Amino acid sequence: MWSDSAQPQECDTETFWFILVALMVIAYVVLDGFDLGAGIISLFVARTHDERHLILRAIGPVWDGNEVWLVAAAGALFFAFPPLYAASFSGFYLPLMIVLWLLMLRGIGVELRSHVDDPLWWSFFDFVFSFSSVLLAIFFGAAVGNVVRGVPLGADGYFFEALWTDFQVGPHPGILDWYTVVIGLLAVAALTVHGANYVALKTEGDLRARTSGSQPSLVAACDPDRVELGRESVYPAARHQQF
Amino acid sequence: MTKYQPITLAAMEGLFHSETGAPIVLVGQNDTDRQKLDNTIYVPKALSFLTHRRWGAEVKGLNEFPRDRWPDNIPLLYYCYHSMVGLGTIFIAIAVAAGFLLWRKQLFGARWILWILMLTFPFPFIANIAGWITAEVGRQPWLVYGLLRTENGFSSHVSAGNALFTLIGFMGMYTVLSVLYLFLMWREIAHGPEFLTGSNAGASVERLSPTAGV
Repeated sequence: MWSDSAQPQECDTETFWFILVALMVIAYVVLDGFDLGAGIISLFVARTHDERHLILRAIGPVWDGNEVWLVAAAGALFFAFPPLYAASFSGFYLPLMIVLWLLMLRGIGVELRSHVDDPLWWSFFDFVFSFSSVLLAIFFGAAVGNVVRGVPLGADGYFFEALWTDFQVGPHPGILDWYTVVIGLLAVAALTVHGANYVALKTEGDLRARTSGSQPSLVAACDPDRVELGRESVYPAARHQQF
Repeated sequence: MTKYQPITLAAMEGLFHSETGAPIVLVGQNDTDRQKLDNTIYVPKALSFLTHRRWGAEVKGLNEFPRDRWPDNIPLLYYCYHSMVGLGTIFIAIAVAAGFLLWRKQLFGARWILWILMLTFPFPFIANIAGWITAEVGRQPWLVYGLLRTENGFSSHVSAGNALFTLIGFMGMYTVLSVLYLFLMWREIAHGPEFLTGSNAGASVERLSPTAGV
């Protein structure tokens, strides 16, 4: 999309920035991934107020620092590859705003929960925190799904996708179709394993036992063979559309 | 500002015509249509000194620049800027007075300044927002100064309806946040300050508790 008549030196700079942006995205997925996952896993393994509080305490010192990697990646994208930034941020306008809202809700859940000593207050903010964590994982997964499937890039280098159309991988794709939603669910499973590992590492007792106990079934959900199968079945369809 | 954004400076100060020894206007009503300020209270030559370090320097007014490069809402810009600077000046005055009393160890006994300190609590928020509006209105009509005009900077792929949707979404989100913030603040204030612990604790509890000494 950007200059394809690049000189070798320019090409080196671009490659360098490509690697740098990729590293930032990876850092974000790995680091914020475990606290998103901790938010998801707290739905399943934490049974009492204290256990939920413990999970929040485990990610408390690091979660907002982890999210800075997303800001860094987006900022680097803006400076290094402005046409890509412009195309993707206008093409994915609504989902990106939804991601932003979910990140806000998640922050509210973490920060406001312990300000009032009341079971109703706690359970409300626990729900906000876990619910937004799940949806964030789905949206991030769907984003990966969109990149793999391809987007309807116009001749001007721009595109616009509605949040959903008919949920088919067809000529009028939406951000969410059956394929990207499946990848979103895969992301939920993968991040849950990731978060479960972190929670198991940071806690002990019943919570740790239950967290470890939940892992085998989750790992099975991320079985590379099945993921590969999913990709095989979708690739020809996506290629056929000639995006 | 004088060097890089003279148009914005002139609009902020309400300086419609270039002047040598330009005054700084503290209060005055902005009449952009007739290009003048009414009922001004001003400090003579102060603007020239602040911008050029010389009392007699010439400060460029809006008349030096083509009208299509003026910020589009000059009254709003002018009032926001003056609110921000006026409040900031008041804060400095209050801080100096309170600092002086603190130094004289009279601050906690001087109820008049404690009242002022308490009642001025909304002003920093107002000054903050006014400053933000000053920045955003002041940079018009440019999105990138001198390069890209705001009217050319819209996205051709995101519809106005989509943008309105997310604007409403953000407003809703911030409304919820404000309500939560006010609720928690109110709780915190109703709860009152924690009593000091340690060696001073006995003394303060004795003085503050109505039952002490009974």
